[in-house]
Amino acid sequence: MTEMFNEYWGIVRPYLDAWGISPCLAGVIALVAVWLLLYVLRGLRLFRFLMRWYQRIIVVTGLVALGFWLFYVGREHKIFLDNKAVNDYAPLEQVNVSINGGEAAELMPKDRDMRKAVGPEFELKAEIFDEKGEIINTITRKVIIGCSQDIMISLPILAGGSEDFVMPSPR
Amino acid sequence: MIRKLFDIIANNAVPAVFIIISAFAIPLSGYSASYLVQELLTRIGRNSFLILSLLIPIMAGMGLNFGMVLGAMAGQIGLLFIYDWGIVGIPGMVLACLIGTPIAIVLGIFCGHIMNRAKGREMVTGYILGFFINGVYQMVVLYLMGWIIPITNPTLLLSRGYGVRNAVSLLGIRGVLDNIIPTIITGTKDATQFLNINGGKSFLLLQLPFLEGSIRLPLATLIVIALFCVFIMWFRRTKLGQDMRAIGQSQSVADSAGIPVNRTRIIAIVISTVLACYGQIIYLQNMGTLNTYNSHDQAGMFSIAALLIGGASVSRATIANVFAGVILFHLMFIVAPVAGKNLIGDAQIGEYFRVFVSYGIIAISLVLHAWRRNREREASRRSLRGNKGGE
Repeated sequence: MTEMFNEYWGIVRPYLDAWGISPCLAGVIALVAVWLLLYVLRGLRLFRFLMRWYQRIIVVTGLVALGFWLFYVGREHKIFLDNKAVNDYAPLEQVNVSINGGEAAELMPKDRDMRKAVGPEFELKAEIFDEKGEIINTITRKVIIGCSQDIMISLPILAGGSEDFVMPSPR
Repeated sequence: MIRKLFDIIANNAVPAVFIIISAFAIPLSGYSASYLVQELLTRIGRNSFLILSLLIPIMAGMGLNFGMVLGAMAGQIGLLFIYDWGIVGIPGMVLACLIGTPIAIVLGIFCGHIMNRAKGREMVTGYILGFFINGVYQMVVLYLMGWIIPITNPTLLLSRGYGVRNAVSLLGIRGVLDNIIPTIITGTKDATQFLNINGGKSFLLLQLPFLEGSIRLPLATLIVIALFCVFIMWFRRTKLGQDMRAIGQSQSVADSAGIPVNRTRIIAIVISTVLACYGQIIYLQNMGTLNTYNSHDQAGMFSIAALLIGGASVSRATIANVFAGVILFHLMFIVAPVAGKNLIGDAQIGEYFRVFVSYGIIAISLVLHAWRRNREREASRRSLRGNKGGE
């Protein structure tokens, strides 16, 4: 089913891109086009039957779309904050991390902590301290999780400036 | 004159008994007025939606819908899914409603068809149907979830790998509807302590000079309930609502008038089941814990008990009966154990007393209804015979 959808979508997508039409707008245009077609056929006996089913399909599609949207915006994610050595990146001396301005997690070398975030994206603020306990760097990033359940953020990689700091959940 | 007085007493006997008992029990319990109001407001928010869902089948002459537990089960299935997927807050609650709706519709149609085959015995049919569907629900939740129905969250499953645990914490959606518009009603003396918290900006603060203590108001839930009441009032005036009322008066007359009786009865039950599904979700978001195998059990019984205590009967119920019933029934829940403890020294005695009186009253109200109906039938038969021989 997914393969079939991808195949058809692969044919349609270039045309939409060429005309500058977003997929959402294309969906609305398709719905209006079907309605117009049914309106043209209103003289037929079949019209009322088709129109009734068309309205039902629109309502059900709308509810399913609402369900997906709620799933997308309401999902709670566990964000594991990891301060362990990864590849060439050494653990940080001390780092305080807060998610969406919430309570900060204080992580020493080899520490791992967990915070929760709701929705497809969150703002991460990391304050990196030196050995004397003074802030040497503050990093603020917007992280997009999408629909995936849990993620792990490697703080040494984040401090190192690489963009590959989002890792799969340790679970 | 005596007959009129007797009719008035017979029509309002149940609420009157509860008011008298409450009038004795409240001073004995020693609870403050603000505590009682707080508890009652919480319980009105928690239970009213479930009870309101009973009104439409009564309007259609189908009696008290014991089959509402089917809707409650549908709501619980929605809640189990959102727990598994980790959806929290208002989106989680709405998604649970969306998932529960088609299940409730299917169960409602099934229930409606069965009730159409058992006309005149809808209540007992609905009651037994609740047990039957409970078996199906238990099979789905205890055996199919985690085995055929994918459940990814290990905290939801039993240690054997399939089947859902009995206690599911709904922390993710606990009180979300109640606290959308955080509102506190407080006396002037206690207002300063709330004004000190974030300058009083994080909640709506209402000050009443005569009030001692403070009351948290579940404003958003009460607004939802008010909207539902408006919906019921509007629904009564629609064509479908009028059809239901006509069927409630007389099925044969409604059938002669061209109203599709069976179809309308099924619609009434479907609406009631779907609303019971939403009611159970509102109830459980307030409680914050889902007892997978028990939460729905008492939903029907408690709602019906509250409605009858509010002065409703099997054939007539109003929105006022719902709120009177919630207040009186739950007032007994709050004060009876403590009143019993203060009176006799044992809280259990008060609880026994509450159970005995509450359900005894329900039995009496059902008997009174049957007796009244027989009497009306007898009177109408007598009027048809005419006033022969000076009778």
